[in-house]
Amino acid sequence: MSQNNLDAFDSTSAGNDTAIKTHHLTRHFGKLTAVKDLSIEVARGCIYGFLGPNGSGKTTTIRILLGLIRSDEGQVKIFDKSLASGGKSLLNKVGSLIEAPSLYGHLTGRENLEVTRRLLAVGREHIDRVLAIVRLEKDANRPVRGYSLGMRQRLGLALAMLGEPELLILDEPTNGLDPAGIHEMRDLIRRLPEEHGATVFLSSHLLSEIEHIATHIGIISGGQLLFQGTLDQLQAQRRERVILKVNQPDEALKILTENGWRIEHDDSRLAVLANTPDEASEINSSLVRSGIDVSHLSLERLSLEEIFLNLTGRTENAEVNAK
Amino acid sequence: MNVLLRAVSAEMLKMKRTLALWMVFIAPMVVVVLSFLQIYMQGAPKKLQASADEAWLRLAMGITTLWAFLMLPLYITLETALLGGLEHVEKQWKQLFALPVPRWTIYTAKLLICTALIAASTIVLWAGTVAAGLVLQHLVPGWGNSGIPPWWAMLQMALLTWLASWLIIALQTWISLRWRSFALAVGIGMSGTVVGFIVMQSEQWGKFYPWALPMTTMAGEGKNMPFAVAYGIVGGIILGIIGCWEMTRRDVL
Repeated sequence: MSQNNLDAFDSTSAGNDTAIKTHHLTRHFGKLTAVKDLSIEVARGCIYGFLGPNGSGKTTTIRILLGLIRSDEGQVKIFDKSLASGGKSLLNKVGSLIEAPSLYGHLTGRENLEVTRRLLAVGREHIDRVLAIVRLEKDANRPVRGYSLGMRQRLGLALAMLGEPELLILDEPTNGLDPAGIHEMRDLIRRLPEEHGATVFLSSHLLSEIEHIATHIGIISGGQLLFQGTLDQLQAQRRERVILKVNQPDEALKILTENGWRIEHDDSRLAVLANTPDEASEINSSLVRSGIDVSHLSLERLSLEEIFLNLTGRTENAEVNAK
Repeated sequence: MNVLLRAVSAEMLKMKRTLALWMVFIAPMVVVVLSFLQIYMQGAPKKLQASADEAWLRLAMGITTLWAFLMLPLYITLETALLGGLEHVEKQWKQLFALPVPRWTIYTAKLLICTALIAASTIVLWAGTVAAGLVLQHLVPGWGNSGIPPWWAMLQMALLTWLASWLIIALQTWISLRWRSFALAVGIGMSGTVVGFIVMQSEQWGKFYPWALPMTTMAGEGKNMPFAVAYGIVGGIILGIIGCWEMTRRDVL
């Protein structure tokens, strides 16, 4: 990396309002590029949903953020301090829960917290504080071996919050939970910024998991960032779909493809991705001009989930084409 | 230093209710009880001992030999594998190494705890030997170990095997922390011990073989004892540092 880039990176992050900022992170595993040129920015006090299909580089990114693995290129800043130079002391402000929490089954919930408490050197009162937050007081003195999945996950969250972190990094925290557990976890996470002033960085492979709690979203696929912004900005990217029924579907498909439209189709209908009603009439007239009868035309809004799938699906196609 | 103490105290809590903790008593007591039963069954030796002290030392020698030769290397293998297993079952490394605690403290605490547990067992072995001797005075008076035991000489004998075992401790700790597989750590330790039975017989190479070092402190009337202890301690410290360095810079996946 050139010195100029470094300077630019330093000067742009002069403000004290970013919790995480990465600068062109890249990490290879052998021939595989897990994360490629990834630059994300997480503002203080927000809930950032880090979204991508399985194997898209989410966990690699999170492990780099936590200093568990190194990046081949690029930089990480946590609260405006470089992870490389600040080292471990930076993680003082960071609590993490990566996938399933790592618990000691033969110890009780309270003892599990005590192990981490001794390492963090925080006061004993914090154990009761976090137990109350995740509502595990009653089961705290039972061995963790007998905990349900939801209780384990809540204890994991309690562990992450033990050191009163300003930033919580949670990797797929609702993975494997039943609907009630998911609901409870979501509830807990949503309360964190308001009640504890924490910034939350949350990963998931399902948009539905985070669209109700995240204020900001980053979408990653194939190790690259495809979108970053607020939920509203993602909504604004919404496309519409023109649904058509025609008498000569094959012919229509050919004409529209030649004109550069993206088309999904099955036997009875064609769905064309378009943005505005104007484009819909343009599609219609081009078909009619070619002598094709259009018996049905309607507009359909894409759901957020579809936008997400479209975004992530497209890069996969692009990669296949590139090869 | 403070962070290291904190890591050690966290390690101590983790051992609560584990087999690893019980092994500290079980391993040496098995050796003491076996040796005691052997003497009790066979009765007093025909030839009387020259002095009470020599009878005490003969008892200690018998127990410590069985300990150093067989039980100690196997026990270190099991103990380190159990303590390593604690961190592998639920991939604890990702959580431990994401804490604002330097990685080396966690590795070093583990190594210190293992070494301390083996030391505790050594003390148990010594105390068990004294107890066995006192019972023997009543049950097999012909053994000849009357009076107060030469406790320092007996303790010394046991502690030397502990010092010489530092290299095995460092090696087995590294293996059991570095690789997830319990079978790998136990396999290496057991093979190492068994192969040692043969390698030990080599006049030239026996004394360099890590798993045979505790026994080397006693073999041949202790002629290689200073070497075995120095080699065990220095080798253990160097390997401890290498293992720690390696764990510190690894990617945690």
